[in-house]
Amino acid sequence: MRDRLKTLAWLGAVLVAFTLYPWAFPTKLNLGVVIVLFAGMATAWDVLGGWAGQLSLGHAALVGIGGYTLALLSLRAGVPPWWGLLAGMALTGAVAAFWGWIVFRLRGPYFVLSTIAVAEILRLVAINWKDLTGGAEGLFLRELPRPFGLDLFNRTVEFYLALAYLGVALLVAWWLSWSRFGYSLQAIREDQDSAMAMGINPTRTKILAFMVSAALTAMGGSLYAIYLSFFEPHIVLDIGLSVELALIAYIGGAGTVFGPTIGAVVLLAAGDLFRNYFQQANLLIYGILIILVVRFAPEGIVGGWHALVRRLIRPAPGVPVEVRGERP
Amino acid sequence: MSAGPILEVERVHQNFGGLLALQDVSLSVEEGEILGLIGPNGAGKTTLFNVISGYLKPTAGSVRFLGEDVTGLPPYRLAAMGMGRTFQIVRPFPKLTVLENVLIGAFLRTSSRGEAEERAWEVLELTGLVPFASRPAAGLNLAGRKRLEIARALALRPRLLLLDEVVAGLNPTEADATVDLIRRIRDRGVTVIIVEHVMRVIMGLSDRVVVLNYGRKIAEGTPQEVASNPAVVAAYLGE
Repeated sequence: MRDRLKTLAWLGAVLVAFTLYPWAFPTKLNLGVVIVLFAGMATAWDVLGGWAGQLSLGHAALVGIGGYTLALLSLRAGVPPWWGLLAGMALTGAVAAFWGWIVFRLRGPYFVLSTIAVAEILRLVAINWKDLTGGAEGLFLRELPRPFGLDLFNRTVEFYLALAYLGVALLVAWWLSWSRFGYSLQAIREDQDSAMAMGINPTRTKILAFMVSAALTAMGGSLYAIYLSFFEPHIVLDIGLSVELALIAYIGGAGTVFGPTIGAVVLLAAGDLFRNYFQQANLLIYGILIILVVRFAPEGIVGGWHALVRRLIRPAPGVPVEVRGERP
Repeated sequence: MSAGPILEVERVHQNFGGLLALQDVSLSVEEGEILGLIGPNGAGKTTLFNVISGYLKPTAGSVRFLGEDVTGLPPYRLAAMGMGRTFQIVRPFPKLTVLENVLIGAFLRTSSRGEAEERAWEVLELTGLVPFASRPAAGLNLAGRKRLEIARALALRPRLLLLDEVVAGLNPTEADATVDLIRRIRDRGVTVIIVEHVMRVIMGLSDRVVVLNYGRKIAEGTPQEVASNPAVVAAYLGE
């Protein structure tokens, strides 16, 4: 109970700290929106990839469905973006349910393979079905309604919308950290046979996790579409985006409340810095950074931090604990 | 549902691609008893556990639990009905703490974190794991992990508990503590089936013993009857 409230307090502190960003870095608003949006989407990815341990390399499909649903409903039918956002979430939730129902009955690498395949199929459909999606030329969101007089193309407005989204994603992750559903996911990740002996239905639980992860990712995808305002299949449906979301979560710490957010801040800020200071060498440095984290903190930054704290506080790590035979 | 046996295994066959792991095995277990299941290595004891607990669908035959035909039901359904089991090769959730491991079991009966935690502490108390509650399960020694297997299964509030070699590999003091624990579990009204290699334990604990050899049931009776059964002696010592 105390841990739960402590995490919630930290969550509030993180969000408050982010609200100061537009004042602290007024010239870096674009980067800010992207960091916060990707933090939210990586947290959404982590529901399935980290907490439930089901690696997805196709979350771009969900970002894309979210973005395209909002944009197409707006452009073709004049539907306001908030309804478009909800429609995208509902649609991806349904897609995830069907997809999970097919593939989660199998164990092994089938799920991750299917994620790559589905995302690629959607990308190709988006490129070739020109009448619907605008094809490779992409879509241009020229104007959107102004809810409460807010200009949705204003970067500051977008930043706070993204922050609200990150807040929702973090609350979901926080709920996973203590609830029955969250522990069911962790049990499946740690040992599926054991989880079944504990009364957990792995197929059903994984499908639910996928639905939550998908709807939450689509929510971010809708906002990403507004932020981009002009977007095309090779941006929102690319496997590079899928890999980036997974990487952010892993580097930060998969299956932890704040790991994906930390990963987004570190990787995206570092990427921006390196681009400015090292020009062409930036990807090299980026790669070295990733190797360093994997080498020295294989559990991500959050896991590495916990290991460090444990080593400093508790003596003799790694020695098995003796449970003696005396009667309790 | 009280009158009949809590578990009935009827004429179960298990065929692994030509290898008959179980042949025509039948047994029944009465509510409140401790049934010992013994046999030489490879006799089919763990296979039978896997059939009973839903991890294997038998090639032929049926399993009835609490009077219902549960043949082929998945393990999580059986757990919900009140069947708890441990694994011979212990498989705790390694990264989670001892408390969290037990908590996951307790969540079967309630979605309230508070109630589940209460139940988990109760079980940790009973199994003597309280001092290790906040340690990661991967950090326990073998005795601790075997105890944790029992604790997790108990958190499910089972009516029938299948214990697969929870004593083997423990030193005598640890073994005595576990035997004592199993007795206390039975005294709380839980029916127990125990697979064990350590004869001293089986003979001391069981009300009744079933002996398997090469996938067949070769004897059944009180520990004394079984120990003096020539077929059992032959199976263990060779002819």
